[in-house]
Amino acid sequence: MSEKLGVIFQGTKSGLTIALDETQPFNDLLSQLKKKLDDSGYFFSDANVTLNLGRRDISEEQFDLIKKITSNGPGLNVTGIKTYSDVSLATAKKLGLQAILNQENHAEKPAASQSTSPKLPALPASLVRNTIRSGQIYESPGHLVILGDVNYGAEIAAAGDIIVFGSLRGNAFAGATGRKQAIVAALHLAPMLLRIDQAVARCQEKKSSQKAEFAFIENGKIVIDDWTNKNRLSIVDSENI
Amino acid sequence: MSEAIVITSGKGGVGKTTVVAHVGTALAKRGKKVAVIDADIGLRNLDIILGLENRIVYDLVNVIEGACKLKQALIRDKRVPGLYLLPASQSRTKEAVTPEQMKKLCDELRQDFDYILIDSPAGIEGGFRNALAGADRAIVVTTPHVSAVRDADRIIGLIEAAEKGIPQLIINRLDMDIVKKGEMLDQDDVIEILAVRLLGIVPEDEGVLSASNRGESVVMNGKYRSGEAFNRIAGRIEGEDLPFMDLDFNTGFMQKLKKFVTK
Repeated sequence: MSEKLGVIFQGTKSGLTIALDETQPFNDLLSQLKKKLDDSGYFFSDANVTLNLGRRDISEEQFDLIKKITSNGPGLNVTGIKTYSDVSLATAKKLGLQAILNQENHAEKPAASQSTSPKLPALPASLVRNTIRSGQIYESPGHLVILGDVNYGAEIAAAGDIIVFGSLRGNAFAGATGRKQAIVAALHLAPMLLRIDQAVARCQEKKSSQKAEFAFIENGKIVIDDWTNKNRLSIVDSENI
Repeated sequence: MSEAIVITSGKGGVGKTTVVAHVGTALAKRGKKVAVIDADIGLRNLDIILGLENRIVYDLVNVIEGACKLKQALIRDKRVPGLYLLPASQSRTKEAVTPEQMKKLCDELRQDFDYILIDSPAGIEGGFRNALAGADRAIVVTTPHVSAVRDADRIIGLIEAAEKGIPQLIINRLDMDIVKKGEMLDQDDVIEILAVRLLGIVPEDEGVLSASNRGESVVMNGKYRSGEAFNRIAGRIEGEDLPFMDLDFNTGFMQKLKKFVTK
C-alpha cells in the first residue's frame, strides 16, 4: 500500500488519462498496468485514453506493448500521449497519435475555472469494505466509497467524490486532480482535515452531530450541510453526468 | 491444540508486559502449560514482573544463535506450575533476531505448550514484526487515553495487513472515577473508535504495582480486583463466555439504584 504507484488512472476533462511513472522500470509498469486493468474489469471498456508518460522516452516497440495490454482486455483506445520527451513525441507522431508536448503542464488549468457547462467526465468508483485505520492510505482514481470508518491518522483521497458509510475522522481529499464539484459525505462527518480541490477545511473540535452530512465547495470555501438538504447537490453538481 | 498469541500495543507503557505476566499466570492456574516469551530484546522486563530475574542463565538470542537448547533457556516458575518464561537478551538489540527465526522458535514451543504468549516491544518497527511473525493471532492492549487509542488503531491496521486476523482488545487501567469526571474515554468510546472485539477490561489497581514489586501475581490472590479481570480474560481466551465486571466499585448499592430509577 505504501509502495509508490507506477500506474495512475486519472479522470480529466478530456477523458481518461493513464499516467505511467517515469522513474519506475518499464516492465514493472506493464505488469502494474495489466493488473490494474484486470482488477477494474469492465469499468474502462471502450474508453479513449491518453497516456501521460512524463519524461520517459518511449520507442515504437514499447508503445506496442502498452497497446497490447490496453486493447486486449478491456478494449481501451489509446488516442494520444502527453510527454515531456522529444523522443516519445516523435514516436507518437510516427504512429499517428495525438501528442501534446508538455512544457509546464498547467496549460489547460485555467480553462477549468470557467465552468460554464463542460460536462464532467464520468469516473470509476472504488469500494472499500473495511475500516481504514491510522497510518493507512487509500487513493482512488475515481470516486471512493467506504463501508466502514476512516479513523484518525488515516488518509483517503479520490479524484472524484468520497462517501463514507461510517465515521470520517481522518484526512479526506476529494476532487484531488482538480474537480471542484466533488463532495465528501459521511454518516458522521468529523474529519481532521478536509480538502476538496484547492479548498481546505478543519473540523471544529468535538462535533456532536450524529446526522449524516456532506461537504462541498461554495464560493471557493468548503461548506457542510445536513444530508437531508442533499438537493443542494443538484445545484452544485448539475454538470455531472 | 497449541496457540501462539502476541500481546502488543503500539504505544509504550500501557501494560503489555503486565498483561502477559498475569494472563500467562491465570492460564497456567487453569491447568494449561504456558510459555511467555519476552520479545523486547535489549529492554527486558517480563522477568522482573514475574519475579524470575535472578534465575536467567540463557536467553532468547542464545537459543536462536544455537548457543543453548530451548529447554535450557526456559525458566520454570516454581510458584505457578505450568508457567515457563523465555527471557529476552539484555545485551543485544532487536536486530539480533529475524522474523523467520522467531517463527521457527514459536513452532518449536508449540510442541510442548498449550499457549505461547509473546510480549511485543512498543513501536511498529522490526521488534514488533519479530514478535508478530510467530503468532497465530494478536491481542492489542490500550489504556483509555487518546494517544494510546490512536496507536492501537495503527497497530490493528498493521496486524490486519499481516493477515493475523482482527485482533482482540484489552482496555487496561480504566479508572471509573476519572471517566465520571469526563476526563477519560470510557470503554464504549474506545470500542467505537477501534471497532474490534473486547477481550477484557482491567480496572486501575494499585495492587498491580505493589504485587509486581514483590514479583507476585495479582491473579494468585483473591483480594485484587485486577486479578479477577485477568482471570476472566484467561477464561475468554479459552473460549468461555464470561460477563464483564462491574467496574463501578465506589458507587454504593443505593446510589446505583437511584441512578437506575432516575434514568
